[in-house]
Amino acid sequence: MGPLQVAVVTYLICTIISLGVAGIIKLLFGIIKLQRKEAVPVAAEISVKPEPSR
Amino acid sequence: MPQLDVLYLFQGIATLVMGDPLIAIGRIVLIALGIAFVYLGARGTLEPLIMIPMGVGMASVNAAVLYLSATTMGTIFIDPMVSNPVKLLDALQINFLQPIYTYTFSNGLIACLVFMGIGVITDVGYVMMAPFSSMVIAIFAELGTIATFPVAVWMGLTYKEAASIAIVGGADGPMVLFTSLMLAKDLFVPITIVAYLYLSLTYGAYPFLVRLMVPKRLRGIKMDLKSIPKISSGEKLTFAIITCTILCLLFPVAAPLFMSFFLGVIVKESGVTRFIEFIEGPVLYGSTFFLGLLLGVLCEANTILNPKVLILLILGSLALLISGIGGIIGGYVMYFLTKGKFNPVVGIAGVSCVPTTAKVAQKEIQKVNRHALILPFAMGANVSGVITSAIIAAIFVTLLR
Repeated sequence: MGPLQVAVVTYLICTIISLGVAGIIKLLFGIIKLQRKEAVPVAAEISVKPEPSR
Repeated sequence: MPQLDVLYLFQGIATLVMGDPLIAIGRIVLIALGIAFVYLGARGTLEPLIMIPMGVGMASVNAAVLYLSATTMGTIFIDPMVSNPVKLLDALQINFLQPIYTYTFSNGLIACLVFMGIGVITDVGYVMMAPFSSMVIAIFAELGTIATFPVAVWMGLTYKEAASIAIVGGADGPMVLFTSLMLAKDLFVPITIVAYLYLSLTYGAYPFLVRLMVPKRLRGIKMDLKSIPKISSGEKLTFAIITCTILCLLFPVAAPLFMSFFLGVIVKESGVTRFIEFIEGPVLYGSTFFLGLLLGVLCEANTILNPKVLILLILGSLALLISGIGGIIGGYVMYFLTKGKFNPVVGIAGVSCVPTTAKVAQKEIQKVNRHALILPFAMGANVSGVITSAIIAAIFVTLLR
């Protein structure tokens, strides 16, 4: 590979991986947000459900 | 009483007078440069943490050249070129800094320790609050590294040497040290010195570049801090361990760097106070001190007077200049993408000289608008710059080693 090709390939791989890292962060936040949203109705359901008498 | 030979008694002067005149001039210049580094470091013009030990080392080693035998001259500080195991064993017992050099420097350990320290003082939350804009800026700020590589090859350096000097564009000292040790061991001393010298000058030079490229009206743009999400330690920790594992999986050859950096981040986020204090204190400052001292001691005229040094000086400044310009272009790209809500000055922080360039950005903005606070965004670009520089270093080492 010529020097220009090496530079271009390096930049391309770096861009893909860096944006991939940014994507991981977004995905992580997405999952956390979804878990929080799901946790709220479940908590509400538990609080509404009558406790069986022992 | 034996006959008194003044030149034998004062061997530092004897080697200066009797040796090669070019080397003698080099030694005198390097002694003067070492004294200047100490002075400028103590004044705060250059980075004192590196420049003071480096200046002392540089002045002392060039003064303390003596006759090791009837025909050979050298010092009893360090011998960086020794590779024969028997000679290395001798050197370890004679040269007082040889053990530190052999066991921490030549294997890249010191770079990893500095990187661990950087990790423990880095808040990845800044990247996580605006990941795409931070990464886009950091990618643009790598233009210096990318553009310098072919230029260096055209100027006569080998691919490995060209990659080592091009990494200066990433503006990350430990990364330059690591890459040059991996790829161009013969040139790692001048390359690392050029890198650290220029990195200490970025604080003085980049503000001019910012003022030149960004008009006053754009420099005063206030950024919206209310939209910044709150990020918990658990989220930062999850991000750090996942990213570290993926990057180590992709580039095993640079895994020591990735692991050291993210280990620092993870220790910080896990809140283990004893480890945090240990890494950000003794480990970071201890390794920075010895890094500076060893770089200075390695600046012996015989080692550093290499015809390639002038080329390295030109290429190092070119890499940092293009990276700075690239970062600001990245800032402009974000400015246009957000329809004018992003301050383009943040772009300079994509050059990963943590936290110097982020501070430069904040300082330049505050000169125009006292109420504009962009430091969180600048730190995001800064930390992203560390990650992109490490990725480029890893690609270069993997492709060219």
